[in-house]
Amino acid sequence: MLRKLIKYDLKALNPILIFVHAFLLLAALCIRIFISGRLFHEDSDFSDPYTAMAVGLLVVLFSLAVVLVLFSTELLIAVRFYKNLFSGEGYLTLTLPVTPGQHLLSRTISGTLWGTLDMFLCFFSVYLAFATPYVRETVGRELLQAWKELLLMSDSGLPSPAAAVCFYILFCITGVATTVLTIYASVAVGQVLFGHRIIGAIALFFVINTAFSILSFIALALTGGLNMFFTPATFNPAMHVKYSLVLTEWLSVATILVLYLLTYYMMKKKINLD
Amino acid sequence: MNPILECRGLTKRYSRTSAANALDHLNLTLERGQIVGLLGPNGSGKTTLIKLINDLLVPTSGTVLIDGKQPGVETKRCISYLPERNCLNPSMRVKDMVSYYGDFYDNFNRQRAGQMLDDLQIDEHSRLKTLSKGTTEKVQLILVMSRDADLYVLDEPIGGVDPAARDYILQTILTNYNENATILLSTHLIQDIENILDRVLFMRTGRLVLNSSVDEIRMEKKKSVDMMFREVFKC
Amino acid sequence: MPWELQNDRPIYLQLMEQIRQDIVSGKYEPGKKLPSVRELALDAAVNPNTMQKALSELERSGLVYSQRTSGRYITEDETMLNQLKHELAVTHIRQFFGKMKQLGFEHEEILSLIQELAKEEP
Repeated sequence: MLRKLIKYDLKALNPILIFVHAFLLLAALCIRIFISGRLFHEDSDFSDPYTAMAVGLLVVLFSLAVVLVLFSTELLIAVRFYKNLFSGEGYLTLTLPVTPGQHLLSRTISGTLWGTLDMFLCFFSVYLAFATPYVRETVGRELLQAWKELLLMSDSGLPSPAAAVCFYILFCITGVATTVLTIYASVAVGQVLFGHRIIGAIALFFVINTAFSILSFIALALTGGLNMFFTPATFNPAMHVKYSLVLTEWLSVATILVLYLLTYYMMKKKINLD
Repeated sequence: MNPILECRGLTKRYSRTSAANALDHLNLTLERGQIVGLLGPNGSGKTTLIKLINDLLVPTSGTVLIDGKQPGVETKRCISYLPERNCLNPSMRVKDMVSYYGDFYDNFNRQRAGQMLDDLQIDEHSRLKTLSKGTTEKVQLILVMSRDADLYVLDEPIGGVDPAARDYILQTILTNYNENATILLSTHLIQDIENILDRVLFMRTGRLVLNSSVDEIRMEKKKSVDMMFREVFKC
Repeated sequence: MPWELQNDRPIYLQLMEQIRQDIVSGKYEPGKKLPSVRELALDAAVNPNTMQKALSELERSGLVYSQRTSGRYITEDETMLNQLKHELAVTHIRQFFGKMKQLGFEHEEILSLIQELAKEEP
């Protein structure tokens, strides 16, 4: 049953999400072929105001497109969850011979899957659009070097580069899952606000996000993470970044658990379809 | 054998502040093999009862048992439910909807669904959003009646359709009904369905005010159910 | 075409009457098989359970009999069929007399009126 639920959820999400991402990748490819491919090379003169302005504009516009795609993916996942479970369609979905737990788990999996894919594709589109051989040679090498120094090679405490990469992947996935469950919890709690379901869900989304940020800050303060800033003698940036990453990771896992249980409770006990 | 439906002290109050219970200590037992009309004015608790049977609401107190079981996965397998609202995803095609039902319900009979869709000349490749409201309702009914369920719960199946469609819907219900199943059918159009009912339940303000077989009403009161209804719910 | 049913009497009684009528009129011939409960119920647009009840009652009266697997058949008992025909005729005539009396006709008047009209009938 879980597999069937995931299958149908992906079937519903796929067409439009594939379209959106294909569009982004196509745009990235066009930029690479027609603009960045011609602009970003050894002979370019970035001190020329027109070139600089063009590059600036391009970067701003493309970032905007990426943000739009990230946002629309979240929005589509939210709309699917709401429509399928809490609108008229809910009468069918919620009377399938499936437990509320299976409903939630299947949607968490499909949502996280698309969220992760979305993130990857957005990164890839940036790479595709701007990483001409020249950029790779210059900026890319520097970035990679800095990253290596900061997080892999220095005394960040991670056992090996492979472990570090695994940690970052896990970090990304839990980040996505946190967002997905924030969406689901907002929708599931919002549906009790009869007549204001959508507004309620949006408000809740921001409330949960803000609460999460405040919580992270408090956790960082309580565990002494902030002290590092005030003792410059011993301040170690790598150490600090790693510290807050690990802390955020734990906090994300805890948030996922809390939101999952909250959503589950709402679906099990507080369903009230219109 | 357990009765197909049993409610004991079933009560639902939507919020602590609401003035009255939407369903108020309802006791009801329905045996298998009958077509039961659930009748009552708007707001009498019909839909609340139907939602409780389908696990779409959690009772405030009391229990509802389907074939002796609390609402859950097991009961959803043996109940075929036609909600009042359109519950089909409009962007799906008719044939996708048929396989959706087939995928999730073991007792769904694809041949039967295909046959009925053919009879109505509904193109299985068309998307639901391109169909008229009446046709969508028929598709929904066909899907529901293509299941070999123990309990069919039909909420206003002949609500907003024209008389010709009404006849088709009643025919479909009768054709697919098997003698061991029970149909619980809510409606306010009593006259049209009176002849197919074995039993009627009258509800008012969350309570059951009459639970009687149609023959009893006709024999003892010399009245049609419709006349009886008008009398009980006189304003 | 659904059968015409009245509102103030149990449906199964009306179904029985209709089937009796159809047997006498020859729509269902003696010794022939009756349509299945489901077919009859669909034809009449009534609940199969009600049709079942009507047929069981008819069976009890001996007008139809069931063969364990193959369904229900109409009796071939001529006496019973004639008796039924007679009963129905008597019922109709009684009703007719009742109505005529309501209109204020006396017995003799009714009879002569009938004879008069019977001559006009082909």
